[in-house]
Amino acid sequence: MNILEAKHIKKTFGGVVALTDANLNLEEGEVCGLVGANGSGKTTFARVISGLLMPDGGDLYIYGSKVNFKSHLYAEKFKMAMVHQNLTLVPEMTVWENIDLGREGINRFGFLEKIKAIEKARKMINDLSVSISIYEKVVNLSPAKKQLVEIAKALSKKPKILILDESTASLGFNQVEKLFGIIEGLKREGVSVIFISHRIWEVTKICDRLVTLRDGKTVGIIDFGKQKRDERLIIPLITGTKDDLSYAETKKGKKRSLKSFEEVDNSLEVENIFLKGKLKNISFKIRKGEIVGLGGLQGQGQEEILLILSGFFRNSYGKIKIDGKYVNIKCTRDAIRKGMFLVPGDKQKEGLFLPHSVFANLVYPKLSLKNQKFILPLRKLKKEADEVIDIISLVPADQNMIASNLSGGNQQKIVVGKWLSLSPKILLLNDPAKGVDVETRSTFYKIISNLAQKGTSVLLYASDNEELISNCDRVFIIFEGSIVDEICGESICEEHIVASSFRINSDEISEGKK
Amino acid sequence: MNIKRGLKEIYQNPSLPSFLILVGIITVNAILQPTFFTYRAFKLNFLTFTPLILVSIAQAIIIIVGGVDLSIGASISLLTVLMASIMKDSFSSIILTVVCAFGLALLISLFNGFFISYIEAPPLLVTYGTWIILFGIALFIMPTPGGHIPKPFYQAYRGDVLHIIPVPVLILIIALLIWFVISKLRIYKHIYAVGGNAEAARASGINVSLTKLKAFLLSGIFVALAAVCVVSQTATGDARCGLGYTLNSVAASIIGGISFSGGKGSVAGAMMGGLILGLLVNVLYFANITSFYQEFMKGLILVVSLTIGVIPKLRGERSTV
Amino acid sequence: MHNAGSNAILSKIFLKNVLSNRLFVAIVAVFLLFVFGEIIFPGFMSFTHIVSVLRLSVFLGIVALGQALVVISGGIDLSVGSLLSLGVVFSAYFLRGENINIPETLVIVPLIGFTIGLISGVGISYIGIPPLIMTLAMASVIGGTSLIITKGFPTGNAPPLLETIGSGKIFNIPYLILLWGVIIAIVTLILKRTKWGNILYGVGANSLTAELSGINTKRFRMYIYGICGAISAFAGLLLLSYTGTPYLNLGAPYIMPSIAAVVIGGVSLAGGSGDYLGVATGCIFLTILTSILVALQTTEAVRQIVYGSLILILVVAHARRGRE
Repeated sequence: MNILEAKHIKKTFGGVVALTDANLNLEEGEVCGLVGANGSGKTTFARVISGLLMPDGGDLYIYGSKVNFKSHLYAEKFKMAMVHQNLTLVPEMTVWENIDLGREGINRFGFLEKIKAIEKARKMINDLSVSISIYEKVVNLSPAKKQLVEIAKALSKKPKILILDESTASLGFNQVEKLFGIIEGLKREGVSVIFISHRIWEVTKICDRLVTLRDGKTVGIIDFGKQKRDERLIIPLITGTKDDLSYAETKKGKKRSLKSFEEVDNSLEVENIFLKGKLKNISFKIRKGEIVGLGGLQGQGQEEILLILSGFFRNSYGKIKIDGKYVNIKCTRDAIRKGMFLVPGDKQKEGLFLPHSVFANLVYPKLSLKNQKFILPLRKLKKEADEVIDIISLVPADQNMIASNLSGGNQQKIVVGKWLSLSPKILLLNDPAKGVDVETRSTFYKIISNLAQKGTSVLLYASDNEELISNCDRVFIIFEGSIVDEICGESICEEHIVASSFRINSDEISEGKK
Repeated sequence: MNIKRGLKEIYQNPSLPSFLILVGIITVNAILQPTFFTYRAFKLNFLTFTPLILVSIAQAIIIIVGGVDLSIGASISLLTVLMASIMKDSFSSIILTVVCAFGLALLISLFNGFFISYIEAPPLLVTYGTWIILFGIALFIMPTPGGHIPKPFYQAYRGDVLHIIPVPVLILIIALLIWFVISKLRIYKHIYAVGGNAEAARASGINVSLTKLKAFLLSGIFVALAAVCVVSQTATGDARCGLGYTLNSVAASIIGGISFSGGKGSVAGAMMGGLILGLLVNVLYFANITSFYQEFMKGLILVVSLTIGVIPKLRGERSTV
Repeated sequence: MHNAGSNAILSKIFLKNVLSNRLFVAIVAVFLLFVFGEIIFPGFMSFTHIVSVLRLSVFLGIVALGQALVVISGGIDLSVGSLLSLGVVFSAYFLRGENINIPETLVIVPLIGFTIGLISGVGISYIGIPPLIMTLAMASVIGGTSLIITKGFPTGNAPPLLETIGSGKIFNIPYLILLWGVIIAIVTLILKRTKWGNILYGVGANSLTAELSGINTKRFRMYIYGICGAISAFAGLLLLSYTGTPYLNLGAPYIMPSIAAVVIGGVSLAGGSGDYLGVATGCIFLTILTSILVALQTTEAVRQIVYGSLILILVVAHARRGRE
């Protein structure tokens, strides 16, 4: 029985068309996945369904009755709750106050009912079986715990329909498993879930059916009751091409064995990096042209390694050698002058000047160079910018476009592009493809592999193991601030990475999955 | 467990530094002025401080909801000028005038609130514009100080209740009670939520614009109250009387632990901040420090309390990328 | 078939582009205001009057320069007024009416302003105090210091050479205006064409990205406040050359107008964009407006109401445009 039916939903923002013909059916007690590339309209669709946005066309039926979009409170009426991508928590308030936010009960005097709210929150957190104190201020929680509070908040509304929009983004592997347990429990109680995620393995695991969006249109519905849970079925629907093969190809092509690097010099050597509470004695070597990955569960110190190397923490907390010579990295300028660049994960917050032109963005890192003239040689710089635009295949190839008007994929290209004309020796990638669609991701990594072939060393941290598997020659697994495993060449695969991340023998994992 | 949690809450309370400063400055004042603890000194102090304390409450509410109100001083000017112009000696006139004053204060709040919540213009600029306009209107009504306040009215302000509570103190107690009641209502939590993270508040179903508007209206009540005190204290209308109140109210709020990013701090803290500023003037007077140093000291205390207030933040997490 | 429609669209886009060019609008506004003044007061647009209005704008223009730099970097500076006052007082003190003291004063006064600005910068950049509050507090501290040092009676006065620059003309154009013209040209060049200017825009637009691109943003922002302090103090020196003798608190009327001029001139309060030419136009606009109001013999009351309403109109227009 269909609880929810979204038919031919259309939505346009200003000049941008987000949804052209989006459809989704949701049955009682089932988990329906919603996947698609960035810009395919997933979040917009979810927001239309949940009542946050009014569509320009199409209909929504819940429990068989047509929804009137003008009254946005219908979500409350139909007991629909959404867990958002951007957290809806007030940092300075406690967990229980946040769970109660917006739905505070009042007694007959109009006074807040504090005790009831606290009890409700306590019960919610217990049901999720996570160790969070409800009196703790949200600002003091880790991102994963914040996400769990967010989920608790949605669940406390006792929804019949739950929409999870990229809720697993900041959760580690074991927390995702726990969440799936909760979702299974909800299914048994008859709750229906719309599950949105970029991680294909999550979606193939937990969903009963899968809706694929491409360019704002529903292009495929896979029923896992009738078809195998195979990722290779999904990719082509997302990208719209028979690209699943090339995806597999990139996996094979990247594996260069340790042997092929034997004669090559080290470009980066790291000795005894120690960061109180985060890193214990990190030492490793990377050769010229090698792509080395940092894997493991989230938050084990991978980001910190990159940030220390980039000079952002203003102290190397250990010894760093580039091309065989010890260097002093005390600020970002030091690292940049030595040819070591950081490509950040959050492109808009950390990688771009949104109100400025493509040219201004590309030129910026050159401004702090030693030999940079006081009065800028604009003609030369514009020429260099054109060359970069060519390499990264920016479309439209216009230097003067304002960065905020670029698509997410193009923005990501600028973020790495600005380092290209500086001849990067060592490229530090801090989860650069997080939340980025498959197509842009593959273009991005093509640029990276080109650089590696020309001799740039790459240190890559990716939260999605797929990226590590497809691109790295070697992967270090970090666990609680130490390198606990080094996986090379052909051995790099999902089971091995996951096993080492949990410090389990990889055979056990294979056994468990059967 | 509860005791531990209670102690932790006290330690983390943003108003703690201001409480300590208050205790400090009371001590200094008491040392310099032997008569500090007499009823007369007590009453005299509060006659002067009460308007500033009330204005600090008004400003604190706005800062907590995430804005700032630079027009508070000009509101005081206009309200006092209005009252001094229309108040006659009859009892009904007095009541009517005070009601009008409250009405006007709420109107000003609506005006500010409209631009800030619905047009979403920056509070700094909007209230700056309002400040200038209100000041202009006040000057227009009363270019030179004058007007008339009936004797029974201002005598009442200087009186005592039950011979041990000065009227200004009573007014403060009433203000505190009003705020206490408000703190039990939904709007209280919503104001903190909107100030803390407006997007989160909106996504949780809170009407952000309406909340900001209500915050301005609440603030207006305290501004009106302050104006009534001021006009009773001076017994005249003066378009320039409000000038100092704006910056002082901001300073008092900061000293009282209100965070400028919004959503943090308490009205009680702002009240302490106002008290501190008032006592500071006393201290300087009794220490025979010339009035030249007043401005300097005020600024210095502000910088010091800011630094104290920010240090816990520094010891906390470094912002990770 | 689509010609009529596309023509209409084209002209709509053209109009939108032109109107959205803040500088253009500001210049037109200035022109209109002059015309308005001429209608009410024949002779308003005479050469001598335009020149005297421009000269009056110079002081606001210099203060607004410092403010613009700070705002572009993402902050705000409410201490510019008290720094100007301090500049007046210290300049008079060091000059003591002697030409020979000019070089020394030209170095010391901006240096003092720079140092004080650095203090604000440290508090804002390194300790993390919000700029509005830090500079507000510093304004009190600086104002108080002025008062303490002079004990209410500032001493000294401007030497003849300086007074000539302040009040004199060449080819009927006051030296001050020429000086300002040169400053506008140099500043525009620095902002748009130099390494330093581009770094500034980046720091203001997104300090995190700037930091990751190799800029020591904390140190940079601290120096901006120092520079603003130096410029404000220098403005005090200029003002002294015009008034001849020092008075206390000459800077107070410049604080808020400097912010208004910056906003009128197209600099975003969030930082990262804007240019000085627009700001200078904004200063001229504000000065003309004030002089028209004064000439109309309006009371201070009416002037305040007009001025405040202008701010509100600007603010609304700015907010509306921001939304698109």
